[in-house]
Amino acid sequence: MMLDLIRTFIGSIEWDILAYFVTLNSFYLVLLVCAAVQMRRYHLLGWRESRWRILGSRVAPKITIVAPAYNEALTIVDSVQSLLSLHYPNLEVVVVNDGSTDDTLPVLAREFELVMIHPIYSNRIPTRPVRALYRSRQHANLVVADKENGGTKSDPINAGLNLATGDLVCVIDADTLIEPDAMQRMVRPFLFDDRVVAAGGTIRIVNGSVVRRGLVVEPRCPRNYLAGVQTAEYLRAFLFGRLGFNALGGNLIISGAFGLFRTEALIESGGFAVDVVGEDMELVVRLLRAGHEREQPQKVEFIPDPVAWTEGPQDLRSLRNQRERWHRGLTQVLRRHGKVLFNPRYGWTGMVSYPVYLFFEWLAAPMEILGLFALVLALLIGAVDFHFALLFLAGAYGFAIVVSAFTLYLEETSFHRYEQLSDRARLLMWAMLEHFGYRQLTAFWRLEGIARALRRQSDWAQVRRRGFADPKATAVHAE
Amino acid sequence: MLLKDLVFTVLIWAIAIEATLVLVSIAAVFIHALWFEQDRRRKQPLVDRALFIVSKGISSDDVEPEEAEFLRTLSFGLLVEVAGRLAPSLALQHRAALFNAAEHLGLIARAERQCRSARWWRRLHAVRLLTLFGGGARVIPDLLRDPSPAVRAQAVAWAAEHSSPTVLLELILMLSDPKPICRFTVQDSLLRIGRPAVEPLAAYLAEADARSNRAGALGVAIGLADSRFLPPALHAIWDPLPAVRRLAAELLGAIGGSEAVVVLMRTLGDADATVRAAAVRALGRVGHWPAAGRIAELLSDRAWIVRRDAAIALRSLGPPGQMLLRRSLRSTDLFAADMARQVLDLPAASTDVLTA
Repeated sequence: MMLDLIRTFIGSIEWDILAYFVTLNSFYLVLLVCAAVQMRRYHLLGWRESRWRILGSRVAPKITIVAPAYNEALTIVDSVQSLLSLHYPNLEVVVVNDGSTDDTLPVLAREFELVMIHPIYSNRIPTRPVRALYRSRQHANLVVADKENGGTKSDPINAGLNLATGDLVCVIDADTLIEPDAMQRMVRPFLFDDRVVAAGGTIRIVNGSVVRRGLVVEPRCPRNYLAGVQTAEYLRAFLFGRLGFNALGGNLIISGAFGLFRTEALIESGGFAVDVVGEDMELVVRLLRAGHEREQPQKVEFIPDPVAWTEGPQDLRSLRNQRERWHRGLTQVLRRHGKVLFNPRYGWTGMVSYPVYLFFEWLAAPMEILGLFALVLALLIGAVDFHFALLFLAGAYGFAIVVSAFTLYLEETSFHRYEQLSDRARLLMWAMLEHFGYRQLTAFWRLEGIARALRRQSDWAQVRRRGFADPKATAVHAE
Repeated sequence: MLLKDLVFTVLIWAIAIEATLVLVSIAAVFIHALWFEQDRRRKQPLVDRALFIVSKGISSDDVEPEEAEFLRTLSFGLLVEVAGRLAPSLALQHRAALFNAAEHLGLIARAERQCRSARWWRRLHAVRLLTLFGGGARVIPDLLRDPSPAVRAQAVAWAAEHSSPTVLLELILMLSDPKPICRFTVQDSLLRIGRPAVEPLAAYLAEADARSNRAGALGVAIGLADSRFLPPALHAIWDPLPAVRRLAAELLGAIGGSEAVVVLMRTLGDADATVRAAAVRALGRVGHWPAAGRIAELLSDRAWIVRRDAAIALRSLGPPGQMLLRRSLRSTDLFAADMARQVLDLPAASTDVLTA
């Protein structure tokens, strides 16, 4: 009787799961074509473009970079130095020390000769109090705000927004390394279209690369398995996923590690939410939604250029914390803005982007786990042929490998960042191996994120960072 | 069973196609990597030698016949690569020599032909090349009205270094271009053109109608800060749009003079806070200390930005302004007293404040 029940259960879901994966992969095929077309257009637009023009322009929009920092003593100097050496004519850097318990502030004060200044600014977004404001004697465009810890990443960002004087504001993680000419590239979508309210670029994994004084001087593919598969995964997510979405109504997310926004739009929207863990996606959805409700649709653009580098977690616990949090945030945001789903009032956002995120991004993890579980169960009770099961798995994961391989081809022919042949070989290897073990593990963690979101848990877990200079040093960083 | 057989067959075909695509992609990655490396090793000595020959030719006009022949054997892409590396660092007279070399090698004629292509990206690339080499006066002005905004913007960038009176007028009209990239490039180009743009821009502002981009033009005028903008600025300060009035106030502050000051004093009572703030900043910039008393009254303005800019303007007016700030510490208006306190607390050497 038990066996009959199981057979009935499997019988009832097997075609649904198959239909889901066929639909998912068909959509990915569309995304693949869109990504290729967008990449070609991007390169045609950028051929021999003179970036020195923006460098010397008196009308280039002013950009404020807001970098929240919590216990970043190991990496803060490199990060701030890389920000200050960005090639952009009109730049302001605001570092917000969010009540660090380590030496983040003393290190900053010593390295950049900070002097206290009197804060004269308008507190348009409520945050935890700012204790003191400092300006650097060495770099007049560097401001450091010391504030009480807000418990979330959003609070220090909002404090930075209150201090921002730029037309555009760039929000980054303090340990993100930005390419020197990233701002010249990132500002372009805003110059091309008044409707653009936010823009993002490709974030790459820096693990294994050579970093000197805040600059990635030699990109290398990591030898470590976890870092390696994340490198391949990030490439696929950005060069395939986000780029493809440019042609399908725009992205719903700009990475919290590096995003550029119109300052006024950000402040009018109330800044980043403090009650969700997916604050970056929540803000973008809120901005898009507000635009549609005002009948002035906004756009979120993605540029495929590698603009920033970030450190990927190198131990399972940190990776699990990160992925669980990401999916918990996704669940919170989708639930909060459920009104957008299939609502023609919200244009492409409601009819395409939001449903895709719900059915293909959010639902993919439960469906994958369910499919694997059903498959194993079916094999155990003899309800399915072993060869069929193998073929099904090969077909499903085979397409994922095609997408990864094509993404690497896009990277090779477009940006060619990895100089060594061995790095390319390693990257291909990680791209293949990603789908055996790592992918299933992250699916479980994403499921865990959904469960915690449904239980309304909003704590922030810790992610260990090693820093760029000293491979033996380890800092604990609350993300 | 039939359905399962069909699924089986589809799966096998799907796997076969996927495997082929994966192998092709992997092969393409490695082939491209190897080709890229080989190509770079092949091209580098050619580019280095070409750079040497072109640099020598530009500086001393002394190129051997075999060196000239060598340049003629190079591909179009390599020549563009060489010019791309040299052009940004060349002074005016050397740019002319680069142009002559490019013309002699047929690059100018080729680029000008491409300006007439039906594909937008060919036209764009051609304009970029002509911006790099020079030339294009026969074809690029027409591209200021190109349907592609990217091509128009690039043509505007070219015009910054090739401005004739006709082109200048065309650029000024493009301040009203529907695409922001074109408007941005026009503003940037007009600022680079400098003094020759003042008269036509002042005329544009004087004759501005509903379709004109007065705000954009005023933004450029502020950068040029020429006294010939005074009449249109005096007119624009009464524009119905607050953004225009604000920019007009900034322009008056940049130009200065007694007429500007009289109008700015009247603008301190504008209905829009951003305009009042701009007017008070302008008076501070001009250093008109007789306005100190009127500015001190704005420490009690209902808008925070006006109070802040009034305090900063008083500070910049020297002793009269500082005296009024100290007096405001005892004001019954707590907002005025607080703002005065904050500005007086600034270090003496501090010339900048957060202007959030």
